[in-house]
Amino acid sequence: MWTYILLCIPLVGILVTWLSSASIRRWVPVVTTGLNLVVAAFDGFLPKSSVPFRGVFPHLDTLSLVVTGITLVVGFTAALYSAGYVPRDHPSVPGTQPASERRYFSLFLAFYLTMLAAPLVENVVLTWVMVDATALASVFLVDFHHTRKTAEASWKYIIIMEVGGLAALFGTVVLLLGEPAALHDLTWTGLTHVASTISPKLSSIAFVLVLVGYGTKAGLVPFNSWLPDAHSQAPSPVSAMLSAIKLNTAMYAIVRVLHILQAGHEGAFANHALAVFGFLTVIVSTLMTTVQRDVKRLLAYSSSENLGLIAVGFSLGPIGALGAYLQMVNHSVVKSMLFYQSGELLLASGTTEMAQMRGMIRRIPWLGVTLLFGMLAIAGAPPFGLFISEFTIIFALVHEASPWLAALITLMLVILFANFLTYAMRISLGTPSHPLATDGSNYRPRWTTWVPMFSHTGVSLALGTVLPYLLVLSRFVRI
Amino acid sequence: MWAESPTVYVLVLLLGIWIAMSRETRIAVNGYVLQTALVALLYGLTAFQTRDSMEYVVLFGLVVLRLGLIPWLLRRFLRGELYTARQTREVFSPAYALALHIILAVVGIAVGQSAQPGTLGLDFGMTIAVLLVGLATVTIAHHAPKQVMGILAADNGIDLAVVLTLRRFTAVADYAIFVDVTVAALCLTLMVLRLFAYGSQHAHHFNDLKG
Repeated sequence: MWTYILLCIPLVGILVTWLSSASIRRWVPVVTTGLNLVVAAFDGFLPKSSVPFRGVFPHLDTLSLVVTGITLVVGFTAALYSAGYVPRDHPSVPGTQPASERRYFSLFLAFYLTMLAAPLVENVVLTWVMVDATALASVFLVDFHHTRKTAEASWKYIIIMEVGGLAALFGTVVLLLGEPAALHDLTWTGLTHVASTISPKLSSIAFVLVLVGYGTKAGLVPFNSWLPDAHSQAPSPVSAMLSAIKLNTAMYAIVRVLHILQAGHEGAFANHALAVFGFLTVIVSTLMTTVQRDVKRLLAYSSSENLGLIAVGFSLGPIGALGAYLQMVNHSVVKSMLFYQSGELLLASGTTEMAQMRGMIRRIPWLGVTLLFGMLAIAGAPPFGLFISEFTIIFALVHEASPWLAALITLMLVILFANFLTYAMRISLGTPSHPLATDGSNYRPRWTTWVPMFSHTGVSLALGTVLPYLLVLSRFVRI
Repeated sequence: MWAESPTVYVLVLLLGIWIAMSRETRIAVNGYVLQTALVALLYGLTAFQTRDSMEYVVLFGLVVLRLGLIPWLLRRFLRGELYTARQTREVFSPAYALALHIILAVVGIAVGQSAQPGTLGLDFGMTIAVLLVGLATVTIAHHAPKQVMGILAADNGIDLAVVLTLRRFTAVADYAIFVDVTVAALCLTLMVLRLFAYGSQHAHHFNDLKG
């Protein structure tokens, strides 16, 4: 029942968004996503379950809980940030702003709803529908600014998403075709139970198709050409949701099918295939970060690199899976914060070109400092959470695969760290090279700007410092 | 019975190639309507053979959404030049494109038969072939409406595969796919109009974003 309530609240929110006046409309997503957080937290902490949040979704496993938790938390902070950002991002044009805001906030909630539903539904086909619907709900958000560049990015985005979606759906159908037991419930659990009866050849073909299809949606190389374009052109809160939630939702579907093959006879093949795509993604995306000039494109390639690491983690057994879960959480927390900061940078300097936003600590001290922290966090510096999750994945590589592969990944992470440190110092420190684009009338950060950024920084620090205790507690969580 | 032979699958494949080779959106839409009608025929035959009332419900959804609503949306939104203009500047010449589609069809059939020997393998191979031809249309076409038609044609290939597993799909799952594809067709069509508002219906004219 709680699942239905969680899905019904955003539906009602979309309706209210359309019916309410402009002053109320921007707060509807905040209330909606906040209400969902309260519902989940209230039931999760009731003493009926020994594991937090297990009570909300009794049929859900760790994978679903992680992706759902990320969606609930980042969805809320993105809604909060949007409430202050959108009116500033889309300057008032008489007669047009209310319509634009209505479109933005209703699509925002539709996007949130599809991403929330994907890990909550048990049916394999409905999961595909929800993952595919995330692209349909977000394509007009990417095109929100209505420019030639946003149209180009949106077209590329939807075409590649639909091609990936077709491959993923075909892979799902092939998986069912290879299952001779005439399964009727079509659930992930049901398919995992009968995994050993699925034809090995068809299950291998199905996994390759699913990996290509959902891998496209998760931003894995070489299917990630949509990712930097869509992330750089979308409004910053939408970029945050694309990076922190949508990519994880697609990875969720890959891991679900991976579990089916692991339960059958093709686990080794699936692990190798996923690891190959993961390594390729880490290497190519890391190298791409060295030549970026646009801060949002830089963050997009970093997202791709992190999803590559997550893919590697899931291919490495229980220790790797633990690292992958932690990486999912840490990356989502830090990357969404960085996209919020990129939104502020855009509003303050009028550009996303890094060369034109030097010396931010002198211009806007709070933004410069949090940006420096965020860049260090995403680079994997201690004491932020990403350090521990990346360390866990490297440990799993040494333990389960090869020290040479671990060394290769470590080398890539060192390159990435050096890149981000350089970029962070250029943007935050030094003498301002260009005057601010705004005279201050448009750049008025409010509490809706500060709260998401400071809370994400705090959570990332907490995940890095309190994580050893959480790892001790993790014995209660089924991995 | 002719319907149990791969005849219908072959016709769906040939119509996929027709869509891929067409130079006007109007022609491609007509090909799509015929292709979807054949898929609906297969759904109907399966429903008749299994005597499952839910499969008739699914068939109803297919006819209304895929055969009725999507072509109507395409004709409603893609008007004038977008619908009737003849495309003469494709990436490949018609001869090369035809050769490519035939090769893809052969590859699809071969993969299907190696994965699943027998009649089922031939049918499965045809579905892969339709999918590959549709995806190739998206890849090698510059014309945005034709890319949309390629996606819809590829989706018909997946529907052919769904026919092979129809008894395992619930009506809810089938309807969810139909609705998703319909919404996708609407979004794609609206995005074609957005591109057209900037003076072109060709995707390769939009290349500002790099790096």
